[in-house]
Amino acid sequence: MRYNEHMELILELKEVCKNYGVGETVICAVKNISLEITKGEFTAIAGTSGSGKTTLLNLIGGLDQPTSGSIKLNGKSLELLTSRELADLRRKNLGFIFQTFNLLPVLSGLENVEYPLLRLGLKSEEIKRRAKEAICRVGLSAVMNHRPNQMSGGQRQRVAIARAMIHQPKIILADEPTANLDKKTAADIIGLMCTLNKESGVTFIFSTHDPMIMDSASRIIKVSDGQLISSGLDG
Amino acid sequence: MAFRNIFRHKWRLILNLILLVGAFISIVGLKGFKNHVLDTIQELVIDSQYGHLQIAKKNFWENSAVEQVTDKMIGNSEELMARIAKIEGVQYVSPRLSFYGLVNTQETSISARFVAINPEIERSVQKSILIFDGKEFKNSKETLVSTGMKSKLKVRSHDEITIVSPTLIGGINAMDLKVSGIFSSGFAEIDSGTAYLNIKDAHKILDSEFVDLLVVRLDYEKDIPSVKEKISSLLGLNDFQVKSWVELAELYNQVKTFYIFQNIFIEVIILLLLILSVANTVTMNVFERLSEIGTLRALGDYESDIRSLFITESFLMGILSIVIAVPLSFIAIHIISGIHFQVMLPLASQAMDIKIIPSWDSYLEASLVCLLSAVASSLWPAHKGSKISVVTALAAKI
Repeated sequence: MRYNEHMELILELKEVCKNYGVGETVICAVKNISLEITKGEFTAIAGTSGSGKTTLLNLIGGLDQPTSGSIKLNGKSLELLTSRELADLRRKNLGFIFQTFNLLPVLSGLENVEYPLLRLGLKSEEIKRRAKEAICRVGLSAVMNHRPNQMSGGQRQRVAIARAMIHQPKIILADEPTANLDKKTAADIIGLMCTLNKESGVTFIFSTHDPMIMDSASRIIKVSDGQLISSGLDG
Repeated sequence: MAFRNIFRHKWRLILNLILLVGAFISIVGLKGFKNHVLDTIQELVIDSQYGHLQIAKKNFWENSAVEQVTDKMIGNSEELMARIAKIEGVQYVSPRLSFYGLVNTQETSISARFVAINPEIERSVQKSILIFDGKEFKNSKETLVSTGMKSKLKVRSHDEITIVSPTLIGGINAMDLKVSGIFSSGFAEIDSGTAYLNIKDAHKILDSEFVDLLVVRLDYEKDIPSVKEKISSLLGLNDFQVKSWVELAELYNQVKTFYIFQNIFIEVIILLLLILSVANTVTMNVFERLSEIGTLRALGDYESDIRSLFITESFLMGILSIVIAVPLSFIAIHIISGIHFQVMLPLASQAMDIKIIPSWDSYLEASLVCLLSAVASSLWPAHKGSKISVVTALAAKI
């Protein structure tokens, strides 16, 4: 299977490598990966622990710089951007969901969701309205004013999903979003992500090593030892 | 968010607040004590020595050579006093004359400095000094001797002493005076060997109507520049010169300069200690929140946003410390001033109560020190936190 001309290419990786130096030893976390992802895909990056999933997501999200190769996100080559331009790109085009939720502990659920909008120059009424809509959409209207430490793991991850969605990014990157959740909650979270992907058309790329979670993906990219085993387009 | 963050580690916040509030109170206390000391010395030197203004012949203060000693002295003092007394803001004008001579009792003879005043006009001189034994002198043929003279001559009030001095025209004259009291002025240089006497007696001893200078006391200290200007234009500056007490009180100015430098030195030390102490806890805060920094960067915050967050937190902590410190400093000042703890002031020969006179500038200075140290202590940790790579920050598990 190849992409056809009607599919909008949103992410393109060409021969991306990422090496880490530990003393005199060089560890290749990502080896020569080339990938293309189109708008609206619900893609899983699958692999065992240490296979390079998180590094790959960090490179795609502009959180880390590749040692070689190029990454084009929404037509922009990330390696050409400054730190400030990368921050702008993340602010406007990317949403992040983390394994450990990474909510800001001093803010309520609603305030956490509002946070990405604060830097976009919107009016406070607009920010409040959109944040309430987003938090209701993930089913947390009852606990929106609770602090993260007053919420369950599933609730925290729903807040994180609402936060990742609120500014209508092009891509949402989720690094093992269900790893810290029980099976039922994990299934709920993946279900929610899947629904949001279908409703809003936002591209989801998430990493996982859970076969059950992988099954819900429309495409599975397999990595092992930093190398691409399967791009999910082979058959 | 910054405001909420400062309350995340309550004990750490309390520790920082104790440091900042303690420093605030120390600075207000130090400056307030300095104000008290300088105000006290100022009152002493104005009342007992200089008045607000002094008028003398052109070469009186310069010690320049003259043909006759009277060339440095004022001859027509009564007429000048009458003219100056009419100037608005002048409370009184009084003549002064000082000379050196011998003081004799039946057993002892010492040299001494005599200061002749008009006790009816210059009441403040005797009011500002502490009389241990006896009372103020009001009449002719009376004298008030210092504690230093008392111990050298072994005299008490009502004893008689004899003053021997050369006259202004070269002869020798003597006069018997009754000791009306023993005084301490608060100034060691005066208390070591000075006696006050009536200027009429001094004129008789010196066989002259000349005076050294005229002391002008004003209703309000703030009028010094304007009255000085009026006196200068009234007398003309060819023959006379007019000096304010600040120009004359060299020791006061030295003490003031000393206190200013001492306070600056202490404040700089306090500032450095605060910066080091607060920086330690701010650094802990930053490195405990690396994962949060990573999250904020992932959400699109700039490095400058991270720096601003931590600097704002420290700034707010500084503001909070000031809000707490202001009422606490009032209480502390009230308590310290109420203890009546006595201390020997510079130049003084008698102990005085420690009092703290707070001023707006001391509160402003203490506030600046607190804010500056709080903000300065966050600069390096905030910079380091903002420069950590996003991936490293996100991976932090503290």
